[in-house]
Amino acid sequence: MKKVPVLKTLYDHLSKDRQIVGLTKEDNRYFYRALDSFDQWQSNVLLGNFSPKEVFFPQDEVLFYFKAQKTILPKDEVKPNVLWGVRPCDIAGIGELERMFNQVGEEGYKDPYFIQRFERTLIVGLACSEPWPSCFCTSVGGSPYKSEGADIFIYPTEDGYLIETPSKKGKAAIQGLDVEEVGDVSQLEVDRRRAEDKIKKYSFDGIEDKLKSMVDSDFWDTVHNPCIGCGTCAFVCPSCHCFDVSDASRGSRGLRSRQWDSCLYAGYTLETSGHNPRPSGRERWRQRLMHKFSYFPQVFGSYQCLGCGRCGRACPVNINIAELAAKAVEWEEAAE
Amino acid sequence: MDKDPRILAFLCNWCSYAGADLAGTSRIQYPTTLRVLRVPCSARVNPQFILKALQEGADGVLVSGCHPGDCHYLEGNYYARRKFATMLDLLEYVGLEKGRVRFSWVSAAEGGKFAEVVKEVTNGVKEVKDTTQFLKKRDWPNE
Amino acid sequence: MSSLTDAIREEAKKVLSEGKVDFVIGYGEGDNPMRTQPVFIDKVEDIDKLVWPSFGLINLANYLLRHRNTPHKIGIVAKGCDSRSIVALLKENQIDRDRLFIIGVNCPGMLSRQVAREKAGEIVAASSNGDKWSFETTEGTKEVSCFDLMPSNCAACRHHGPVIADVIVGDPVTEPEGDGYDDIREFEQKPAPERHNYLKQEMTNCIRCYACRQACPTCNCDECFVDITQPRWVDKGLEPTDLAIWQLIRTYHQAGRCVDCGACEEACPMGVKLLWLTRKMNLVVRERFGFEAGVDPEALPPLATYKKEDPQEFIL
Repeated sequence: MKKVPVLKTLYDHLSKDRQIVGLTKEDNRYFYRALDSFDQWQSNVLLGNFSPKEVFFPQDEVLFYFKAQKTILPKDEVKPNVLWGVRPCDIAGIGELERMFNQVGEEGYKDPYFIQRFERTLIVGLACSEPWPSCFCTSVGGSPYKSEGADIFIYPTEDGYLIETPSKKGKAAIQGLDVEEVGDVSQLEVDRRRAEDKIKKYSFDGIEDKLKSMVDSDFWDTVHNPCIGCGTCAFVCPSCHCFDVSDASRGSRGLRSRQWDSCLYAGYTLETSGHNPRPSGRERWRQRLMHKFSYFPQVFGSYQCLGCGRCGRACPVNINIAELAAKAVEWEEAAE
Repeated sequence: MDKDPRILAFLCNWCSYAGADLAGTSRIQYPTTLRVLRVPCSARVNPQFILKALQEGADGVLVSGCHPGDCHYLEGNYYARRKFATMLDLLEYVGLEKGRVRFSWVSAAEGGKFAEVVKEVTNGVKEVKDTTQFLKKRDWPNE
Repeated sequence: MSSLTDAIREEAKKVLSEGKVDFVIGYGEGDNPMRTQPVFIDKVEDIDKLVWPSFGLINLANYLLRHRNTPHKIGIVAKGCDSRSIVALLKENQIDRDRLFIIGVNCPGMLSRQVAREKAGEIVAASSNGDKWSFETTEGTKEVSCFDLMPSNCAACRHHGPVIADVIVGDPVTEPEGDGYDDIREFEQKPAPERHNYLKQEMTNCIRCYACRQACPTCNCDECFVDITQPRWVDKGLEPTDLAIWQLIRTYHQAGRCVDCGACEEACPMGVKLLWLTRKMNLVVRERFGFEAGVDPEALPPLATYKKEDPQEFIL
């Protein structure tokens, strides 16, 4: 594996022809924004308050403008960039967004806006040597040292940083970088175990089918109670990708845009007729948990929840999806 | 302000609109800055209209109704008075320039007063040099 | 605050076991010492889930809204501000008094996670330490006193105790002097462009998640003005004037109804300083119309009534 003594060399190398996007600090909050310099990067913060999905899937995005009957696409202002220092959970989230927005096969949905941004981004991941108490990636098939899905992946060590290049794009990107070749990476396994052991472990074994068997269960009667339907969980989640489309116009000119939506909003499934198939938090929470732990795995082969823990931290009423999922696994229907 | 400001005026049908009409038939000269919207009563004016008007390019907004006690619907202007006081206090707190949004009581017989109100409001809006913070910029491409 | 916890549990246990209510809405524990999750206790065996939290800027009256048309009798833990929200809801006929059993709490004030973030940064773990809190942050360990963790609305509160209740727990809190709005008055002295820049900055940090609206008990329209398409009051998305109008009209719609509970600002994932707007709205209503939300159950909402002598200095 390759090694560099300091990350600034890699940063400078990559920023020659790309804009680096990484964690910045604004009023004690952390966001993935364009960095002006290496020093601006908040290297000691594990996760931003929001996920990096906004790099590929902004909260507010113009789809097209229209003028009478003419459609005008937005100007192509997407620059090649680097998503710098993202953690394995977020990388997995981006991977799931990619699977959703760039579906395989002729009939598969291909979102041109997402794809354009995704193709122009180099993903540089960073292993988590100090996970947070809110993390639970190891319970959903993740790991703080998982490099899968990144173009370049960085492992901090005692005396420098190991660099792995899981993709061709990554290998090409570090051409010309001054690196040391390292043969013995056995310490990496030790570090990985240490980090994984720090993470709270839930058991979600069999949850996919368990949830399917619980569609009419009393379990759903109470889990939604504290939820105020604020949508914050979907906004901070790296893999939530629902959006609503809206038009704005003046006379015969206007635009169509999309904004983030949340399945927990009361009006999420409200139909024009006034009928709402998910009229209360009960149905909405059932949907959310099943989407994350049953429907998505069924279709795409992995839990949609990445174990980043942001939702529980951001939720005004501290609903912890991991706790709910664990309860579901253990739920025993009361005997009739 | 370089050009003449455009002021959206909500005039209540029974008093202020009639007063404006009287100013016209009496040939009283006053600035041509108003764009008038006739409403049944000043209470019809939703404070959101004011913000929407500013968003859409009005340089100023005037809402005018009957004098307290003379409302055609008896009490409308009393409720309107409270609404507008509340809204104006909030808007000025967030930095709305003094003089951009105005209110008046003009009766059907006060053609002269109406003209004076328009002069005063126009001058006030002219003095506010900048475009309103609420103007919605629409940079929509042409092709 | 363990004595408040015990007292609340005792009252809740009584009222549940006597069958006076179907469930009690109260504060429960969260997944770390800084958090609380509202609980809905319908069994006496679960009574120990009720706690009195330290960081508890959640308005429990919010949960009454979903019971507008249910048959349940509801017990509810209500601090001063929450009880005023209950009065506001009763006044607007959103719920019947005889369905409620209010366990009033003389609230000493809550701590705010937004303030904790301001003072200590990104907090990874926290523990209470007497009259201060110890935070493990991404920039080392920091200690902040409870006093410094109190939000502006709690510091300004003049209604620590419930205005309406079936029982009251906790020692009465001595209200400080003054009406609590001096910080707003001081802010108003700043020149308009300075106020404008500060508030515009705050308002345009908004990402239209609507957490503030959802956390607020008096934000309860079946169809919020931002979701109405005919007429389209504001477009969706993050255009700055749309953001400002969303914030301002939401604030305006709370005039005479907001009880300064701080749940909106606490819920906001961007930390928008909503209290600067809502508290100004409360001050306006107080000074112009002598009204304070939820204090007098008989008083008509200020915009639903008038006085012939209402001030009109702003009218030509």
